[in-house]
This record gives sequence, C-alpha cells and structure tokens, in this order.
Amino acid sequence: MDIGKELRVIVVEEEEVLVEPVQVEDDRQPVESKKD
Amino acid sequence: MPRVGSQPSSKAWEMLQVYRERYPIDHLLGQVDSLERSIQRREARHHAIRRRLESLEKELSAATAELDAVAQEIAGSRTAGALLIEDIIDRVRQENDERWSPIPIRGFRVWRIESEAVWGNQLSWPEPRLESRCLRSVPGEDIPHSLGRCGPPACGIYALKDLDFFPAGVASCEMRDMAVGVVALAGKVVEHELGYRAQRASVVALAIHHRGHRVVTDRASEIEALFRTPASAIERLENNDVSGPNEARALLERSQKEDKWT
Repeated sequence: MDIGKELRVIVVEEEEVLVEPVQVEDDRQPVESKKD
Repeated sequence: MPRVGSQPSSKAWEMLQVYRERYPIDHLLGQVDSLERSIQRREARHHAIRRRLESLEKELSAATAELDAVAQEIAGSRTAGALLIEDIIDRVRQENDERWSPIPIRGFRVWRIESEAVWGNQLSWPEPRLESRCLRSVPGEDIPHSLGRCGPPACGIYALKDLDFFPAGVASCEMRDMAVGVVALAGKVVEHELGYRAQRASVVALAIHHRGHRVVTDRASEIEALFRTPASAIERLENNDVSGPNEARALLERSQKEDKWT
C-alpha cells in the first residue's frame, strides 16, 4: 500500500481518565409548610 | 584474710607487688614472671592494633565523606544532563515537526476474509487489535521505524486517511470477502501524505461483505466476534437493511471523525 512521503511522527499517549465520584452536600434548608 | 585467688585478676597483680616488697618470694614467681612478660608483649601488640584501627576509622570516615561528595556530584551531573537532553529533544521534536496526542488517530484499512480468519496484508488478525513488529528489529527498538530505517515496505500497521485513497469499490464495501474498517492508532504513529504507519491499532468500526452477507457495526462486542469467528459471526450479525454501500461508508466516515485531537 503506497501511503506517500513520510511527514512526521505523532506520539499517541492515551491517558486514563479517572472519574472520581463527587459527593455533593445537600445544604438546603427544609421549608416549613405554612398552615393557614 | 581473703585468698588471692578469690580476688579479681587486677587486684591479684596489685597484691603481688605488695608481697614482693614484704617478703623475699622471687623464687616462687618463675611462672608468674613468664606470664607477665607474655602479657607485656600482648599489650604492646594490642596497642599497635588499636592505633591501626584508629587510623582505619579515620580513613573510613574520610572515604565515606568522599563517597557522599562524589554521589552528590553524580546526581548534579545527571540533573544537568537531563535538562540538556530535554532541551535537545525539544529542539529535535520541533525540527522534525513531531506531534503529540492524548487520543488515538483514526484511519481506514482493509482486511480479507478467508475461511475462519481475518487477514491483513501479511498477518492474520485473531482479534481486533494488533501490535506491530519489524522483522529487522531487535526487542526494545522504536517501532515502527521512521526515516527509512527499514523496508521497503517500512514496518507498522498501515491505515489510510481517506476512503477514496483505496481502489474503487473498496470504499463502499462492494468487494466480496473483504472488510473495510476504522482503526484507532496509538503509540508511535508515523504520518505519511496519504496515511499512517502505527505501533498499535484497534478496530473501532467495521463493514464486511462475505458470501453474500453484509455487516456494518461500530459495536465493540460485535467487532470482537467478527474477528474471532468471522464466518459464524457474519451470519449471526448480518444486517442487510442498514448495511448498504452508502450506510457502510457513512458509518465508517463518521467513526473516523470521532475523537479528533486538533
């Protein structure tokens, strides 16, 4: 297979993507129900 | 009065002096005198050994300090050398237009289907991934070779940048008993005008036309099956309704454009 003239070297370094679970604190205040 | 024999040895020798002055006992001391001379000879030797040991300790201490100093000089030279090497490699990379990518480069390639195996140009692919090797290389060499260090043909897993670079009929997967696919290239990838030569490749999309059956897929599990047991997998996965020439080409081109790093 002729792929033409050599142009350059590309170094492919696959990086592992680490996805860590993020815990989000729920700081919402409870809403008091208004009783009429 | 305690017996002399019950005293510590140094006390006995002190008492001997006392009794020598007190009584004429020299005629009794033949063996003791002989022992005393032997002790004096050994004391002289002991002293000499101690002096030698002190000298060796000084020498050891000086050698240890010198060893630490030389080790520090080596570490300093290594650090300076590493900085110099990094500069040189940076310059060489720039001069040779070397690039870097965190994600694989995608290209097209073809295989032929023969009985129960998928074949590349020279090797069978028992699974949808391959690591290249060079017949002329020794282990640990930088594969694939670049700058004409091997070949022709030069080593590496070949892939083309465009489906139209293949002979007519290949791009639309019209040729029988052939597979056209997209490979993700990684490791050292040598870019050419029309394609690439790579160190590693894994198949990410595939269109097969074999014995009247057509399969087009980009599902990893199906691609795995198509490489491991092509004949039976093709019959099982046949999807003629979505695998016409246009659909095959569209899926391959879409797959090739995914994950581009620019």
